[in-house]
Amino acid sequence: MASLWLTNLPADVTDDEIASWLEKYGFPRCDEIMRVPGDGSRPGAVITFADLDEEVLRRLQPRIDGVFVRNKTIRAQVAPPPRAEPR
Amino acid sequence: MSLFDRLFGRQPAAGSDPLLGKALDRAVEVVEPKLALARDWRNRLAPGVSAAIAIARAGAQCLQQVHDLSAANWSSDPLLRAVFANADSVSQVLGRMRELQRFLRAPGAGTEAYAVLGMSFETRKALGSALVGDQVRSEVERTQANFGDHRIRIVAASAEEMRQAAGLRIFNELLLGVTLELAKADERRKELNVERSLLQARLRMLEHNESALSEEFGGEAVDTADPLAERAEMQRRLDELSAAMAQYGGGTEGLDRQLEIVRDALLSARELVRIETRTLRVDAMNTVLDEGQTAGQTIEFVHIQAPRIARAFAAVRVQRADVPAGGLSIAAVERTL
Repeated sequence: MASLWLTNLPADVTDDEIASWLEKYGFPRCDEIMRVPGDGSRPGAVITFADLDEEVLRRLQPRIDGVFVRNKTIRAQVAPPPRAEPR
Repeated sequence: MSLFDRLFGRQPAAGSDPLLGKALDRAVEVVEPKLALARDWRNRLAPGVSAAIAIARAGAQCLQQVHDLSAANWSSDPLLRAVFANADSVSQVLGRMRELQRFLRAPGAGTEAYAVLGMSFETRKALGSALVGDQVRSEVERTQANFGDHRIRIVAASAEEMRQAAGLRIFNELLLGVTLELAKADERRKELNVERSLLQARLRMLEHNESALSEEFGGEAVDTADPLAERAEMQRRLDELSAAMAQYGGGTEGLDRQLEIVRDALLSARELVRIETRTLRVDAMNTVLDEGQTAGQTIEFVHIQAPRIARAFAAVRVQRADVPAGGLSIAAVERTL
């Protein structure tokens, strides 16, 4: 499993739009999109790919990083793997 | 659905394959867009992409038998009985499938959907009792078939569209596997580059001042008795590293070498990816029986074995009425947790 952290998304963007942008740049179909609105100035989203290797995602990530959409420059980072729950 | 999508589920026409051009474009788009700058890239990549198309087509064509996936049908369909513990678990799984719910919620969606149900599959040896002749014996080795981790990712309005989408998905998965190969080759090339730079620096120091080299590296690999032999050994190692780096390509040859890696990886998929229809005879407890036995029921499913994946698949038809409305709220709760 690998996750992509997108920030500075247009405020009114839909999940389907995000998924279609990613597919346009060669990403596989994502399994989950978790929106992170923050304070509203730079809305973000965590995109989860259940069957994708992190190495592959790191290779794909530069394609979407810096893409200019609706007056916004999208920033993309490969999210670190989730930390184990403390016992 | 584009022309590219529509053609995946069908057998290739005689002569040239109309899909190949689109598939080549998609391959470089997913794997590495810069590959389109390489000389004669279409002709050089075509054998690999053709092999990937053949695998995707074969996989899609395996999904012929469609099962009605519903709690009501659980007791009458041997495959559903084998892959779900009980009728309720069919409803629970349908309630969790977001792609399916999204498809059925969409405006203009029909009352039914065709989907590919993916499952983990494993067989496990276990000791149990069995009827041998006219005696019941305990501790007889039996093979149990286990299915789990049900997922639905491919949903379509008709069986043909579902097969086309499945073919496209297999093709994309093959391309992602190739992307991983390319990422590994890049990583290895970087490691070799660092190693070669260190060795070159060490060789320069040796030539400059043997004593300085000895202090710098703790004298561990330095044969002060025979500096010429040491230098020759370093040069040999440097030549080895340069040859290894040439395998991964560098400088202006980088794209050409990457193209070859992609083509070879796609061609090797023919040996690495096995897609087959598996038939098992199982009893009510999912114990695998011999083919000759009359007890139990025969189940058939598609099994895909690849380096990164080993899963079972079956084509299913789902009625809107069988998808529990509660599934929507479960999805919402999962998202907020």
